[in-house]
Amino acid sequence: MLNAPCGGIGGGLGSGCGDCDAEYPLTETALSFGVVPLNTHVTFRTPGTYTCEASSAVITTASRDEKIRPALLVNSNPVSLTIVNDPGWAHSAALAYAYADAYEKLCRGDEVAEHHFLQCSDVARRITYLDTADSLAVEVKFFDGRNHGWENGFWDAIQL
Amino acid sequence: MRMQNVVLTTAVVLSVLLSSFAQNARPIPAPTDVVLKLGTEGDAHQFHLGELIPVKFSYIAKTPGKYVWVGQSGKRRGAVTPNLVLTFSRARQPEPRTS
Repeated sequence: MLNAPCGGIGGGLGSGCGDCDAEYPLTETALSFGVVPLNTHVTFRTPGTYTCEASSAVITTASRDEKIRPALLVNSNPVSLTIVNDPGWAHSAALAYAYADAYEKLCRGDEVAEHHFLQCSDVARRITYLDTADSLAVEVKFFDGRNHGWENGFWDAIQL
Repeated sequence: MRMQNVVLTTAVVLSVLLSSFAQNARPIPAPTDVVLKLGTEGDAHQFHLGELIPVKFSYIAKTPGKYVWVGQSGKRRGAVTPNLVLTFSRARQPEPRTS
């Protein structure tokens, strides 16, 4: 699998997108954009079965030299997502505190190791997406108004 | 069984757009030999409310050398055509019949 040097949808997951203006010929080897959290773009508030489909218009058959490069609309396969409501899971103080423990160990202090940035971003997102009273308490506890090198989203969550 | 689809969210615009390419023009439906593949990490399909849902997407061309992926990040903010759009629909359970 070929990984494009872009940070995924919207340049997410903390990686850079410095070369996203590049062009890549498509082959039978998948051109991948990594794993991105769907939660960044949509919040499921109601349990149920949802179908998600993607479409894009960033493919062309025309070369760089051509004056007009028509875009082709590509639709993805549908993906079925079953969202279940398990208050015992979401409101488990243990879950929020497990994430809090991980964040406390890896992501606090003045000198967080750079190789922990992705992990810290991931833990922070998991706390934010929980969206419970316990997770809010964790966000308030850890929000320090500083940019540590990753996006934790705590301030946005606190403001909501 | 009657299933009623309700479009919950359309057009979650996930990034910016293309340059001269497709500007102000409707894209042409792609032939079937180029594929946009969407999936979840680990092929998981069940998640809790509030759980992180990791998704991945990739492009594959069954005819090598025919298609080019053109990245245009940040160049055309405010442009009309989105780079990638997600559409969601929700399958509802049929309502119970009343006699």
